[in-house]
Amino acid sequence: MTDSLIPAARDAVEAAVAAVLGVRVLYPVSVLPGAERVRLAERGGVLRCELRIATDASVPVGRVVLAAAAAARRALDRDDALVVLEVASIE
Amino acid sequence: MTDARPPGGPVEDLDGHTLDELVDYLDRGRTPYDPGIESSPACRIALAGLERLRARAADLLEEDAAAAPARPEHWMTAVLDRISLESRPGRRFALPDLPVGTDAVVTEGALRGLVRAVGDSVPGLLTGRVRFTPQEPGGAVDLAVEVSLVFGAPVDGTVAEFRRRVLALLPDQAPFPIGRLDVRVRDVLEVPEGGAS
Amino acid sequence: MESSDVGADVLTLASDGLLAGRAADGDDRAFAVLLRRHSPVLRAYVNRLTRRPSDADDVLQEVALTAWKALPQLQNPDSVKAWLFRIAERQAFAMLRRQPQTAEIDEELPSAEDSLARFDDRDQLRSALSRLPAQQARVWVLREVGGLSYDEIAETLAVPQSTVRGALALARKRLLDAMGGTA
Repeated sequence: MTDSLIPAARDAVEAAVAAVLGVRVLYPVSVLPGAERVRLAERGGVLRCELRIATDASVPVGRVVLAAAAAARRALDRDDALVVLEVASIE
Repeated sequence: MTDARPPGGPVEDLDGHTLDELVDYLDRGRTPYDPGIESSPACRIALAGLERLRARAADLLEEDAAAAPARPEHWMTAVLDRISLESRPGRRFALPDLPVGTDAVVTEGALRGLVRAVGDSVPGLLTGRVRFTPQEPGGAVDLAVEVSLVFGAPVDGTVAEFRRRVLALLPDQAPFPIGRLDVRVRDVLEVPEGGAS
Repeated sequence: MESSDVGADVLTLASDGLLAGRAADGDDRAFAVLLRRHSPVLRAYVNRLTRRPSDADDVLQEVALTAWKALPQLQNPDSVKAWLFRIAERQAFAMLRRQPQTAEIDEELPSAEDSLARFDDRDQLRSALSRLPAQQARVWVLREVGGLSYDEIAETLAVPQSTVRGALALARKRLLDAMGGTA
C-alpha cells in the first residue's frame, strides 16, 4: 500500500469496523497525542492493521473480534491483512 | 518579623513550666496527673487556652471551605479530561483459538469496568475494587470484588444476584475460565429518603 | 448495558474507600466524586500553607494528577483523605520552593463575613494565624491541623527539627496570646 492511499484506507476501515454489531467505538490506538484510530503498516508484504475498540457486553467478545477483523480486511481489500485488536472497554 | 526571645524557653510565668511541656502534657491526655501543673492557676489557664486552640484548629479548614465562594473548578475538568486518556489497561488477556491473521486481547481494565457495571446494575449494590488473579498461565483466573450495599438491601439476596449476573456474563467476555468468585461487602451506604441528590 | 445516571447519583454517597478502590481500577467518575468531595478542604489547607490563594488551582491540579497515578499503590483506600492531604502538603511546598519570594505576598485569605459577626474564637484564630510569620503559621497548621509529627514537618519543609520546634513554640505562644489564653 502506498503512503498516499493510507488515509483513505484508514477511513474505510474505521467506518467498516464501527458498523460491526457489538463495536461501540474505536479509540486512538495509543495514548500518545495525535494517535490515529486505525494504524496501518506494511512490512515485507504483510499489511498489519491495529485497532483499539470498545465493545458491547450484549455480544460475546470473540464474535465481535472476528467480525471486526473481517470487516477491516474487506475495507482494505486484503484477505491476507493481519488484524490486531485490543478490547479496551466492555459495557 | 522575628522574635528576639529564645524558642522553647519560659515564655510566660507558668510557675517554672514551659508551653512545650504543657502541650506535651495535653497530648498525653493530662495523664499521669501532674500536681505541679494542675495546681498552678497560670498553667491551668494556659492549658484551657491550648485546648480551645486545638478545638478551633480542628474546625479551621471546614470553616474556610464553607466560607469560600462557589467557583468554577476548571482545574478539575482539565484533570478529568487528561486522565480519561490513560485509563489503566492492566494486563492484556489474549483471546485463544483465533484463526491465523487475527490477534486480539481483552484488557484487564475492560473486564474490571464490565464487572463494575454489572454490580452497579444490581439494585442496592455498588461495586468497589475488582481484582483478577491468574492461577496459572493460560489457566483459570480468580476474581475478587469488594462491594457496598445500600442500607436495607437484603445482604444474601443482593450478593447472590450479583454473583449470578457476573457468572452469566463473564464467560462470553473474559478470554479465560473463571476460577473463584469472592465477593466482600466492605461497607453500607445510607441513602437518604428520596434518593441521592 | 450502562450503569449511567442511577449509578452516578449513588456514587456520591459511596464511602471514600469504595471510591478509591474504583478509581484505582480506572473509574474516572469515582475519582471525580472524590475530588469534588475533598477539594474544598484541600484548597483551604493549601491556602493556609502557601498563603497564595491565586496558586491554589495549580497546586490542586498537580495534587489530583499525582493522586490518580499513585492510587493503585495506596494500601489502605479508606485513608484516601489523609493521603490526599499528604500529597497536598508536598505539592504546596514544592510550588513554594519553585517560586522563592524574598518577601512573601501575604494575600487575604477567605474568611467568614465579619462585619456584624461576633468576634468569636474562630475569627480570632483566623486573624491571628494570618498575622503570624509564614513559617510559624505553616508549622502550626501542619502540626495542629494536618496532624504531622515533628519529623514529618521537618522533612516536608526541608528544615531541621529544632527549627520546627522553635517555630511551633513561637506560633503557639502568639496564638494563645491573641486568643487571650495566657492572661
